[in-house]
Amino acid sequence: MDDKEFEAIGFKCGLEIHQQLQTDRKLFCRCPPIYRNDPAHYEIVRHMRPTLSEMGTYDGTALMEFKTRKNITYQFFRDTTCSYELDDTPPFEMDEKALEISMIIAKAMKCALVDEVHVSRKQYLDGSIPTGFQRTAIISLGGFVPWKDGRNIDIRQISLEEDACREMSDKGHEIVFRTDRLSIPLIEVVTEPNAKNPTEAGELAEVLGWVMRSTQLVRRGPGATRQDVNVSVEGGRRVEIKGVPFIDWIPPITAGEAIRQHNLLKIRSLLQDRGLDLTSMDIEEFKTMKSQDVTDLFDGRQIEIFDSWFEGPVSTDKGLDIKAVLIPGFNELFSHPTHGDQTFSDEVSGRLRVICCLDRMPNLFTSDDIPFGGITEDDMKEIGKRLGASEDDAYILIGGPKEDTKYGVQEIYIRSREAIEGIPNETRQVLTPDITTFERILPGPDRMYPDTDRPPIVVTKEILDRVNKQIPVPWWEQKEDLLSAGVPEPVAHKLVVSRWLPIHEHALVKGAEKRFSAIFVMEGLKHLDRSGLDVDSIPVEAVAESIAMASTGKITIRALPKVLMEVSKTGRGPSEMIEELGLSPIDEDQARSAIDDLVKGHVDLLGLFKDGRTGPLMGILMDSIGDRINGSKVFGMVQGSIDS
Amino acid sequence: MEVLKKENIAVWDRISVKTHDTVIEGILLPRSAGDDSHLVLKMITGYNIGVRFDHVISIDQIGTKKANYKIPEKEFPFDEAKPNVTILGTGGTIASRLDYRTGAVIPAFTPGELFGAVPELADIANINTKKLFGVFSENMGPNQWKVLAESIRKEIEEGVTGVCIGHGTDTMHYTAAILSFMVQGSPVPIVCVGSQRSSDRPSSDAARTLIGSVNTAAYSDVAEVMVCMYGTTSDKFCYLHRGTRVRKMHSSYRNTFKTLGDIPLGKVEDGNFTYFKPDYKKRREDREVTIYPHFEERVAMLYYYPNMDPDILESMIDNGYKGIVIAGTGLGHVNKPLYDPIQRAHEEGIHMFMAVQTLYGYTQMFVYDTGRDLMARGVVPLGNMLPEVAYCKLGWVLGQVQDPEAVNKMMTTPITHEITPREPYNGFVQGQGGLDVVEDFLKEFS
Repeated sequence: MDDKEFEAIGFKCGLEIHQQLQTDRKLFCRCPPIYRNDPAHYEIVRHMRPTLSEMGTYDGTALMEFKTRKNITYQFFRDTTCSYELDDTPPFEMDEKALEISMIIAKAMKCALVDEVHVSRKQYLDGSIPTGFQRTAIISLGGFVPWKDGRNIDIRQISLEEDACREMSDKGHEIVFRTDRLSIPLIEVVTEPNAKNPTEAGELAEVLGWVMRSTQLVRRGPGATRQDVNVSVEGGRRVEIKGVPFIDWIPPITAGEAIRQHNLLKIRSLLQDRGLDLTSMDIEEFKTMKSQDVTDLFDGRQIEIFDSWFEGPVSTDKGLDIKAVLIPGFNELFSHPTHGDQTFSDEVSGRLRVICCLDRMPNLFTSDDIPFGGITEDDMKEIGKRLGASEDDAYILIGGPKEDTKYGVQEIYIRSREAIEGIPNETRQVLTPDITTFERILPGPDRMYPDTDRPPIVVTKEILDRVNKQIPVPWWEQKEDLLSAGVPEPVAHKLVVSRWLPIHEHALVKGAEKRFSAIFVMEGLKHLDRSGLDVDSIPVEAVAESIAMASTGKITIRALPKVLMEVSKTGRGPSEMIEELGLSPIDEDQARSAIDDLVKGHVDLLGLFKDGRTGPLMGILMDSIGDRINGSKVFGMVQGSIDS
Repeated sequence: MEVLKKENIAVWDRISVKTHDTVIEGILLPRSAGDDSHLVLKMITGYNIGVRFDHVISIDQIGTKKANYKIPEKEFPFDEAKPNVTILGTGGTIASRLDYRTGAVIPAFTPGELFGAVPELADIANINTKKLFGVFSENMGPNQWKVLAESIRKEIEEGVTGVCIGHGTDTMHYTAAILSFMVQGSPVPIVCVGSQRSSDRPSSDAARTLIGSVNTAAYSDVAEVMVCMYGTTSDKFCYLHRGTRVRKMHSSYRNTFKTLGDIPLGKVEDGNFTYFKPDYKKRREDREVTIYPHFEERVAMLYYYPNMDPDILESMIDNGYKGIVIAGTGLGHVNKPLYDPIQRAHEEGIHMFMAVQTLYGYTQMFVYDTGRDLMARGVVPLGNMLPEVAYCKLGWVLGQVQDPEAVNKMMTTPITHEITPREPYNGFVQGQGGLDVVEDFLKEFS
């Protein structure tokens, strides 16, 4: 499908971009915001319990996470995490710098700042946050970033929140999180669904990333920027895909989701044609559900897909079982394609893996599948008979720990019933650039409630003054300015978000010419950095001063790298190094006498020069005085003296 | 504020607020005290934000959504085969949850509400709840203690298998101590239980401490006053602490309660008990219990610090205090300027006792001159009785006897381990409660 076709099925996509901020501490405690890759100093084990919502009900996500009955292990470091990360002390005051940066970015996106910041708790029971909720606060509402063809990217809201733990492993009922990332300040920028096709979805992420990096106040590197995409098609519903790792993946992943929704809607209409409705499947007490323990049928036989559990012949005394569940009216629907190489059975499989911890794949066998690996056609007939299946029905086999398969058959029933409604309210995770799988049920606003541990923060005039002073010139304006100074487009494009932008800005203040500085910072410095000069270790001021000197003729361009190398090595200032290395420029008279002396010693090369082979003589001349006068001048002088 | 009155808008109304740079829709929330320059809105996303009144251009009412918050009540199932446990409610975090809209704490305390929140309780015992008070634990005092003691007697006489007391954690160790003196010879376990994270949090410890304490009340063999709280910060097990040796030692950790100068009585994990000490009083079938609901309120605790001015003690004497527990430095010391008022207090018949502010270790008042000087002026050392326990016991003793000799005898004769004859080597280490230390300790009993 191409972009036009996606537009035709009503493709819509908005983003939630999560960006870590460059701060000295975490958002709600005084620990340093750093990752650790050494072994953890200590671990604790916790469990999460769902809590009742304000309406006296359990949130869907909450209940699902509780069903998984996970043992959650948290890893700690005595020197970089504290009792806040342990959820053993209430939050400290919010990091002021994080608050300011979030407001600077909000202002750069033309948002309206709130007058008073209220911290809310957003429940997460997957264990990624030891408290069971993320502390998050709205900073601003309703802004925009100019985009293309007179269109804007509309910003719905920006919130400042604490990052969650890093997941280290997740196997069966054991999940391990590392608390180093917990509470690193993060902003979440939520856009309106402005993208009309997958290509545009990728553009949204690119443009917004640009704005944030142009503030020079955000963290970079792996995991510092993470984008969630919300996709829907006409007649479908908003599905959130979490943590798309690369911007390049956004177009294929959103396309895949649109196709998936399109197919789920097809399945829905097939089910409607078959006369199925929600009332036929009870998921409160599962009174209508027909399921059976069929372990006895396979007793003593080795069955390939259940072997990861039984590790040998199936038996009834290992605490494991094989259960079958009837899904009425679903014949041939589990093999219906959804997206990529996935079928509807993968929708169910994802639920079993996440919710029921049946994570040894493949984790199910459907009546649409061709029997293999020890399961025979007779087995399937017998199971169909036991369940009272008709030709229109489908049934599914699962195996594993008894407690897990008990929830497993219920979960299959629940997910199948959701097909009658169409597209479930869920978040999905990325498997490959164009395939997603179930992550969790999409939580509703019920999971938000006020954080009473700290008072609201009034956005005072002092805060606003500090913020207003730091709002960057919008990157698109900066770029326009560079282009009008004759800076080539690719250089201008990269410079406005480069971490070396401050070098360029300082160089201008010190008198450098705009075009020269821009090109040297993006091309020259990059080249030097690759050849071993650690640009980031030299003070910005010193690099800027060196560039300005080269730009204004106080040193030659050829001498500039040498100056920077020496400054980096010695830690001394550029002027001092120029003096010491004798790199200050010479005037034409000095140059002429130096040239005359050198030419006398190389009369043979002068001959070659006259014949047009200028290289050998120029090489010798430049090695001697090239750092102190430009090559073109030297060339002109030799040429001139020959002519005269 | 005027704009709300003018438009006749009330809390819980759904409103649309127009400011100079945006329009916001949401539900108007009650304002917390102390600020009247902002209105607070709950937006459809669930987030709250504050808007300055002087930024508001106009407000329109769109609808109203009455707060109708109620904890769902499910009938607590009764099973004749299960033991009967009564939970006496005094207030505190354990028995409450958050009102999501306002952030206020509201009590949840009928059996049905408890069952709605912690359905596992029904697998353990039949639970009856009685709400005696609804106070934060700092507001507990002699009047509440006496009511509690009487209520416990009543429950025991009516035949319960065990009693739990839901209590705020801040002063739970005071209540555990005083009940150890007021309720003597109980045939059943009396278990104080609290929580450090309220039950509206997914990471709450409330369910596990409740399950631990109800299990203890229903099945443990220990017929003493205990505190049942987390043993480590992990969701693993609860320690059972003796009422006279327990103290809250951290303002916020889950495993804040420690047994001081000894090791805990045992631990409970998913209904399984491990007893660390064999010297506890065993559960009995009879219904005999003696209640001593006495307390002299003119008792004070004086926490000594360097350069303390004698006028503090003078004012206690002038104000008619009858007994004073001094939490002294080191082995039981105060500075010389206090000698005179101590002498005066002694002459005026005020009972003075010494406990140590180090919390661990014994008073040893013969070691230095200061100790001997203080004893010569009537101060009586209390061994390793914790200062808070000493305060409770002195109030309780003076509620019954006044004769100095009788008072001293009662104070220095342990009733239930408030003074122990010896301190095990790990009674100090364990109390420090480092994570590794807890695990090392447990290895001895595995």
